[in-house]
Amino acid sequence: MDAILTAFGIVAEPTTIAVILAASLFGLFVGAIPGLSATMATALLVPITFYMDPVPAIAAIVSCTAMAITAGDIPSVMLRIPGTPASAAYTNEAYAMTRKGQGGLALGICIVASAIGGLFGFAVLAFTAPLLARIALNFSSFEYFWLALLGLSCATLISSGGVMRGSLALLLGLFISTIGMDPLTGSARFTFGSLSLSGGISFIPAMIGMFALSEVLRGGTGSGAAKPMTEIGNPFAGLWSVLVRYRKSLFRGSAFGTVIGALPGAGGDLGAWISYSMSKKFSRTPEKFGTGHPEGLVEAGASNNSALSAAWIPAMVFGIPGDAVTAIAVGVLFMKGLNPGPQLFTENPERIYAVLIVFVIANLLMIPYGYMAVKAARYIFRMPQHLLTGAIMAFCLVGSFAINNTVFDIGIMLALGLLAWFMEAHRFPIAPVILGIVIGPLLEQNFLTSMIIARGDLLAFFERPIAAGLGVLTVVVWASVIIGGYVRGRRQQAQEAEGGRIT
Amino acid sequence: MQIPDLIIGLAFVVGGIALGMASFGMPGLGGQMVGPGLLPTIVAAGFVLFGGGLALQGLKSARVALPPLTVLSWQALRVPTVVIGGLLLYIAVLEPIGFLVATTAYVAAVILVSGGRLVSGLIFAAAITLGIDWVFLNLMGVPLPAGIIG
Repeated sequence: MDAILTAFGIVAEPTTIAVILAASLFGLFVGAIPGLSATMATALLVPITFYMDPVPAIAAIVSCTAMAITAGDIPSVMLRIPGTPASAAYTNEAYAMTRKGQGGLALGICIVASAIGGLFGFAVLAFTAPLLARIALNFSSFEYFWLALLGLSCATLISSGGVMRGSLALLLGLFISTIGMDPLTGSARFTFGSLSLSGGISFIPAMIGMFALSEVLRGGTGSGAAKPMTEIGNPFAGLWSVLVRYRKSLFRGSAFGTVIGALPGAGGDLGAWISYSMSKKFSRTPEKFGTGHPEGLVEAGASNNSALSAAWIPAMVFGIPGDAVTAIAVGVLFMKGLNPGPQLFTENPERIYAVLIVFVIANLLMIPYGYMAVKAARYIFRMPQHLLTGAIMAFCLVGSFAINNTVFDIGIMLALGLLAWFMEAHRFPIAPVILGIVIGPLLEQNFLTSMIIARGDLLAFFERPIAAGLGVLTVVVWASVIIGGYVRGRRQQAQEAEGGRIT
Repeated sequence: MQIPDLIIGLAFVVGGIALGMASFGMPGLGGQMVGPGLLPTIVAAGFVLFGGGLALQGLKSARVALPPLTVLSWQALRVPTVVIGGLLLYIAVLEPIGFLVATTAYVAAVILVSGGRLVSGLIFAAAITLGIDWVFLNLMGVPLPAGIIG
């Protein structure tokens, strides 16, 4: 109890409060700029944390990341430029809401569902961190392989355009992810002797090209619209009823995101994609998905931030980072003498409790800061269409360039923008391509490792209990789609034959 | 222009075969049945399988009715042409002439072709470019190519 009171005292210090407020504002700013990620915001903060005490240093990272992830939803909702790979899972849905005149509600859902998800993740982190971390550590390459495959399968099967087109889009993404050094031997694949290609295809320029550039091109030909004909209203108007209506989705997304986030390496990206798929699967109105329906947004938004909080579980308990952000944070913890590990909870409990309190503040701050950001961002819709198109292109250029400081990435943005333009014109979904690029390396690494361990015996993929469960679930998902498609086809044939007899 | 599913499906099949051939040629790990070519081979097989399926679907629907060929007019292709052509030029000149000049010119061209006016487009393009450059340089410590101005 003393430790908790001391922790409150540390957090209440003016320096810590000022750091939380400033880092949140910085995260909001960076996250809202298309192409700049939460990881980049965190990395930029590290030099500043050199001069801080341990708790404010970690507080800066926690609050900046939480805010940047949520702020990434703003360009996603308003301009169809996802801020993070996780928000790419529901970018089309959120943008469809904006085009229906519900942009304010979409942003409100993103902000509040993220805050609730983040708090849920925090609660789990506070009470079950050691237990969850132990479970997570039991995951081997077999479980990770199935988890990645399940995520890819779900995203593909629920995508618009049908299984055939969704699968081809996913395979395209997986192919793009294989360009560059292979994870096992380090040999170059499909690089055609190019040094730039040997580093692989960065997903940030890929996302910008596929979502933003393709939208500008579609708008230019009159087959799309770069700017929705609507204004952003109060983001919290009507929000309560949506959250109450989809409370199960909110809980499911938060819980699932926490579990996924606690797995080192899986991170929130996979959580948001699977959550969105689950939301459609369990929905009473799955046909509304993709048309600007808030249900998937609630679940995936909550999953996104709960995973972010939960990613700190393996980071704090075992020093194993859950994602890129916590990898940076683990470095800062070491630098400040707070070596991650079980002893952190016994030797420095007040500092850990202080960090946990910061989680709560950071997630609560999202609501007023998010509201302010939305109010400021609504001026975007008052801009004339041609100026907005110019501004979007300026952000596309700088966002693609800045991630690696290379012109090559602008070329990647252009190439993938053209690909997405072609794909959308021919009813191919583009989200599975992005997921393939993001999750492909995780899938390949774990697949190859498992194959080596199993000496090529595929049955070994079902020998461990959790792996077997995930494997069976993946097979069931695919089987249900194939059987469902076959049954639908037969029914359609029968109806056509029936129609032929009547006429 | 809409390309029929049959053609797209067949393109995936051909691409899959080419990818499969390239993947088979990759060196494996000594004594292991896995190697750098395994995932690309699986992807290639998927291209052939699903591409073939799409081609078959396209063939069936082509029997019912051929989709009308719609060719976009020059007017409709004006914006994409400037956006894409301008980007190719931008990639070529960004480092020699610098971010400020190249981005201002490119953004102004995009605004102009999208229906804006030259003067207001140039002013807006210069303002947004300067703003971005200032934020990256001063707030984030990320210098953008200076080119002829540096």
